[in-house]
Amino acid sequence: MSKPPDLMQGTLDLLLLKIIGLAPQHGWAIGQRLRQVSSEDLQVSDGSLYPALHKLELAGWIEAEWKTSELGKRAKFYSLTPAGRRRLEQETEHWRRVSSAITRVLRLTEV
Amino acid sequence: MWRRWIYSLRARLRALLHPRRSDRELNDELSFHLAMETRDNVARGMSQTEAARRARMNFGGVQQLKESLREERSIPWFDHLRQDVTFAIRMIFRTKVVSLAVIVTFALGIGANTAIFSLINGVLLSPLPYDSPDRIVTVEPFWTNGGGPNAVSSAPDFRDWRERNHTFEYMAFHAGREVRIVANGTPIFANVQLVTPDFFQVFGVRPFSGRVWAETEERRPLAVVGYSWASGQFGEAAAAIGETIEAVGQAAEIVGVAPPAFTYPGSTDIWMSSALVPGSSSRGGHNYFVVGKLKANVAIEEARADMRTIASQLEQEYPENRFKSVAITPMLDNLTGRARTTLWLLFGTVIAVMLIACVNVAHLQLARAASRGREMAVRAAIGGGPGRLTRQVLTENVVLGFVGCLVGLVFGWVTLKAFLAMAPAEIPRLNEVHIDARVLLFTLAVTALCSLLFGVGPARRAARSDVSSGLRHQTARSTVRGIAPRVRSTLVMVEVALSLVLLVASGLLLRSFVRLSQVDLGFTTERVLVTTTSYPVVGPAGAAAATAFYRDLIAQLRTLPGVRRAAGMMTMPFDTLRANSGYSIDGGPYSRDGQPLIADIQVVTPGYFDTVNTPFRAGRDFDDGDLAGRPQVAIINERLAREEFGAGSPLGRIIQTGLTPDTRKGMRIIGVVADARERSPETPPRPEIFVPYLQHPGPGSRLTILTQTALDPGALTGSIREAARMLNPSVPIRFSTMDEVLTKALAYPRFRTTLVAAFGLLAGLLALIGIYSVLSYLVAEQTPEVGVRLALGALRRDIFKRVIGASMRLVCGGLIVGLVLSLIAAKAIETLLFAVSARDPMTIGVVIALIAVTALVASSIPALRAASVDPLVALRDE
Repeated sequence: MSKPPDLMQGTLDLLLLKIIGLAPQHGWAIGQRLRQVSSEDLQVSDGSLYPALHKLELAGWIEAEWKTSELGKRAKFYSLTPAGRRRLEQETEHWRRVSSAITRVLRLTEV
Repeated sequence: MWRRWIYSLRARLRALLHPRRSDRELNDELSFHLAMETRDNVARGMSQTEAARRARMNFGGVQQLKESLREERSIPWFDHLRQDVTFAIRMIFRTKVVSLAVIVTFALGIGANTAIFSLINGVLLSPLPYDSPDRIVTVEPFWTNGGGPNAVSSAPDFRDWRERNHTFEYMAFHAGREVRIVANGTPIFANVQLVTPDFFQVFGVRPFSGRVWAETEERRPLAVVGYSWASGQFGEAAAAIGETIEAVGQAAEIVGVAPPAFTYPGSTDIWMSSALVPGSSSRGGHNYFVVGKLKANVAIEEARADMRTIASQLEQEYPENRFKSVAITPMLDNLTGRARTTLWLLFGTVIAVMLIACVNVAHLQLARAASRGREMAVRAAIGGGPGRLTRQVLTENVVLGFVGCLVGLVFGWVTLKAFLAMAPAEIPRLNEVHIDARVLLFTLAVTALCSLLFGVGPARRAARSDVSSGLRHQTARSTVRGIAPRVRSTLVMVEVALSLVLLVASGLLLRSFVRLSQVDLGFTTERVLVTTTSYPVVGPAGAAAATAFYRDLIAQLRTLPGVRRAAGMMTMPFDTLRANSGYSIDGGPYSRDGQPLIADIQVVTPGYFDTVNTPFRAGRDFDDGDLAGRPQVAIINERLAREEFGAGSPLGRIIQTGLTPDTRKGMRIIGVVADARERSPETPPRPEIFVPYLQHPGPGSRLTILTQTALDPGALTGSIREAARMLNPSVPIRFSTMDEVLTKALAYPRFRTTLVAAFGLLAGLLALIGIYSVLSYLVAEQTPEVGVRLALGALRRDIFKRVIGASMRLVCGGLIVGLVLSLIAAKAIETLLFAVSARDPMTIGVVIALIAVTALVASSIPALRAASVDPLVALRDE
């Protein structure tokens, strides 16, 4: 499998919330960070990164602020809103439950 | 969680309100991304150009992404709405005449509704401007033997109610009238109320200045004055504090000024402290209005049960209290009781007007939808879905509706001003009537409801047009044919039915009013000058002085040139406060068949009956010999004579009343006069006893002088004022005429009759326009068909008959439905009718004929047009 697996529906939102939750960042850095942390296993194209970010912003989970970046240019920095932080906790918990359940199922061996 | 919505809303609003800025930001964000990517690529060793190219490539279609992000940000329905509204405005301007007709029709309906709802809102719906108004009630005696409620109570009853109850926080009485007072050394008239200490507590009045008194206060008379009265008298309201006024024979110090909004009851100028327990010990002397404030959390039913218990105790303890229970009414209901029916009647009327207006608007929209069949077909052909098309037409309706609403508000405001100017003073709380937030909300809701309700049909009709036939036909309007006529016919019938209901109601009220204006009152109102005076009475000697003053004044007046007759009476016709008393004949019982015998009591001077042209049926008038020390005499009216003596002669018989110890011993009946409608023009005469003023110095000390004049009564005021001043300069004096008194008494029925009739006419007119426009439209639509018929040899006469016939069928259908409805509606207004049956065939017949004839005329114009169609032209058009 050379191609990284497709992200499950809704998982991208969780990942983005998590990364933004670590520190307010701009879109490019978020993409980079995601790639780094997952050791290139999770690839998010830029074409889906920005729509996802904007959707989160419109939903009120994250907010955006224009700040000067390391290049000296103005960049749009995303940070979690309080609601977004709670959402992240809930989603993380949910993910844990689902993934451990899936893991338990996959561990089953033929009797 | 709601905070999330704030963030969300902020983000969306930013995108919505600053579309250009958010576009620029989107650009900045993406180009920043590309710059970062390029820098990274350069760091990996690529050339600048190569790095930028790779960055862009990696990114995918920048433009596509921008487009999709932009779509994400926008709210599609909002964009559509903006398009629809813009387009709607353009359409409205393109069809100016129809649009104007829609707006004006709508505005008329909305205006009428706004004005009447303002009245209802201010008078009936909004709470009284007092503290905890829902706990304020009136307490009245209630005669369980058929007498019903009695507005005033006796002093001992009040005392017992107040002491024995467990449900009232405060209970107070007030009693008063317009009397002479002396303020700043000048004798003037003022509305004075005697009130008990708790009176201000009942309403939670906080004085504008100074204080109100408490129960423990020393027993010297104190006064609280009204804000506007104090401002008028002393220049500045607060300046009244400490001043002394003289009223009802007492000098009272002003200790407080009431806030501007407080003038209860009516428009009181001065509240004077009254002893908690007034001197009167008579349980039969009902003189005091009782108001109370329920304890918090006490339901009115509890208070009723409580007071009924007390009343039945009193019935056991005192024989005079037999059959006397207690009625407790929320003050708002008590105040607005009489206005209620009238206002709801008016509301029903304007709602019917609104319905007719809406039906007309629906007509116009249908016609417009039809004429746009081709346009709609084109829209549908290039992909406009029915939902989208419906919404677009609906938007036009709503835009028209709201323009109509704005115009209607202006119209309503003007109408309301006119209503308030002509409204009778008896309608309470008129000063509290304003177009406030609630009224605006109501108007908006009506507008939204009507423009949606009556717009959806035409809008869907327009959107549902058949694409292929719509495009194929040359004429713009042909597509809607076939379905619309049935809807239209229904609309016409609804209009006819509604306008019949309104016109029948108007007709019945008008006929009632005419009958009421022509009713034989039993006394004349023509050329009778009314002179109101108020003589200061202190003690028994004061009463005698007052009586002497009136005797001399009347004698003086009779000598004046231009005066034909002059006399005095105690209670003016149509005064709401009237004395009455139980009576018995020849020492018999005061009741018959368990019913108490009760008669109105009137005190008059000799010559009264001649002055107002009330004829004698038997016996003689009072004369100057009927003095205090002489045998008591009385004159009775015909009704009393008939009830008590039948065909026999009452003259010389003895009648007793509980009025005074003397009258209890009995009065000799010396005359019988014709019945008079003294209570109100509507109320049939009741048994009445007249007594001479010289034998009743107490009530005889406040008389109203009537003067029958040869010419215009107004010309005499100067000389009468002079005559009175010569006798006693400290007596204030005021004039009006009996005609004015009558006009005032008829103000209520006149008000409601005028309004209902005006709205009825408006409704009729709108319905007529509706019938005319529908028929014109149908005829225009059928022109090609008529052309074919004519070409095939049909007679023009037959064409004419056909159109008229079709229209008359609709009108007749509407009339039948309307007849049924109006019989129901007339039942509802039966209590407002006078001497006219709710099913008065004459009124109903005239209205039906009126509608039929005008409808005939309205439809003959399009019918003539149809009959004069040139078959060649008609066919060529097709």
